[in-house]
Amino acid sequence: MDTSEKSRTISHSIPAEFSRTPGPRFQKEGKHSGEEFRETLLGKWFEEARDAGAKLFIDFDGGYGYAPSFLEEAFGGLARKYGSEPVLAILQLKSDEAPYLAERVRKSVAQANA
Amino acid sequence: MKKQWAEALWKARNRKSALSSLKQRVRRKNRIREARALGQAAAAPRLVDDSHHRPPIQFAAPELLSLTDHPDECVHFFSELYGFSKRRDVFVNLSRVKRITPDAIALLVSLVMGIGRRHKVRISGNYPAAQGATEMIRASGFDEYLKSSGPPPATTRGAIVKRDFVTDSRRAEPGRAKELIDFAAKNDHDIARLRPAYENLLECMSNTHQHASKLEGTEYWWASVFQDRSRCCDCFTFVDMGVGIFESIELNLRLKIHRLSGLGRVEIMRKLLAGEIPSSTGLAYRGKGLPSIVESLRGRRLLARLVIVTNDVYVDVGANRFEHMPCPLKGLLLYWEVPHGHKREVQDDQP
Repeated sequence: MDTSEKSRTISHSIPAEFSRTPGPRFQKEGKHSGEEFRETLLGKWFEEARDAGAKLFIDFDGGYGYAPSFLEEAFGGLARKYGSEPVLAILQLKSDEAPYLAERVRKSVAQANA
Repeated sequence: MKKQWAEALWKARNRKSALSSLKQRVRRKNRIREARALGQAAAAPRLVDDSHHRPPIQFAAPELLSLTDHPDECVHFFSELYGFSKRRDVFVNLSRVKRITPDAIALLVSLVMGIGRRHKVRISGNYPAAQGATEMIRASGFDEYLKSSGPPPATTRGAIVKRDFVTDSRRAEPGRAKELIDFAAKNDHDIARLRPAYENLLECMSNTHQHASKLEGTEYWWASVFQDRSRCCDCFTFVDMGVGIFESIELNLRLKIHRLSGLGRVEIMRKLLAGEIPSSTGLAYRGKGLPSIVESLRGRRLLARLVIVTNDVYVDVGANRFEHMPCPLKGLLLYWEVPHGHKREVQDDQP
């Protein structure tokens, strides 16, 4: 984790802190699931950033890939718990290797409560 | 009464008899061991009398064995092989095959292993007479699952992995997907090119776990990759021998509603891939698996080709070829190609 006071940003990397090989949607389906990621890390990261009034910067680069159901369960699930607008306001996403991931996450968050 | 067998004479006889028996057993064991080491299983004493064994049932493959390129020609062969339900040995005759593609190899392995597992019968076969087809099979990783009498292949360009949800943890395996990606990737930087393949594999595994059988997580899946140097692409195949999309229980209910509106399976498939058929969960954010795979071809152009075969429907997504097959194939086959060269990635909002 990297916290920058100046820009008030808390940075995390999924491959470095969770897994380079993210799995399916639910824990019952397999290892490194979106549900597991949200429950063990993402939820805490989000609350930490929200309480500190900071942005949550998430780096996707370095992983093997992210199944759409993994992203939906992790980020869409976060939006279902905390609301789409607060999540979109706090999240900052970096995915230079696969720019479509950031768009996919934003779409999941926006449509989470549809 | 005196115990005669406790006397020295009887003890000596007994010792001699025991020693002779032991020597015989050791000799017999050594004979079997040597025969196995030499690969001469026939020399080993047989426990079962095979003299009355019935000859195996033959399945002859067509000249063009490719479900992706020639579905009509070879679907009968695969369908008959899958439908085999007798307790008879099987011989898969590939001698006529002139051309075989990676999807057919993966499907053949999954079918043959499935028959062996279900019916506990012996399965044998031969290689195609055409040298190119034989080389393709031998380089594909096929021999890892089926014993071959020939020498090991000079080069290996393919890998096949299997997950047995029945006997193991019944879970999707990112580790297995990683195995295939690592095999196909030329180096660490090349992994980024294969991201869509990894994502598709995980999505397919999830779908198999949830929908391929009546009981969740009880269906086998197979996945393979083949490096096609002549066409400069990596060919991925995912196969499950489950009920297929159109027989999936929860989907079936929704499909019945669509059928009432006069739509055939081909049209339903179009709607399904376009994400126009909602998830059975009733949640708008679910049921995006197949549409997202299609999107990686159509929208982002990260794949060179995508073919989906399920039940009696064949779809070549890139060519917009939706066809009704003459004979149904149980389960689901997804085949996609990732080009070796980096293609420009297209954003979601771009056409």
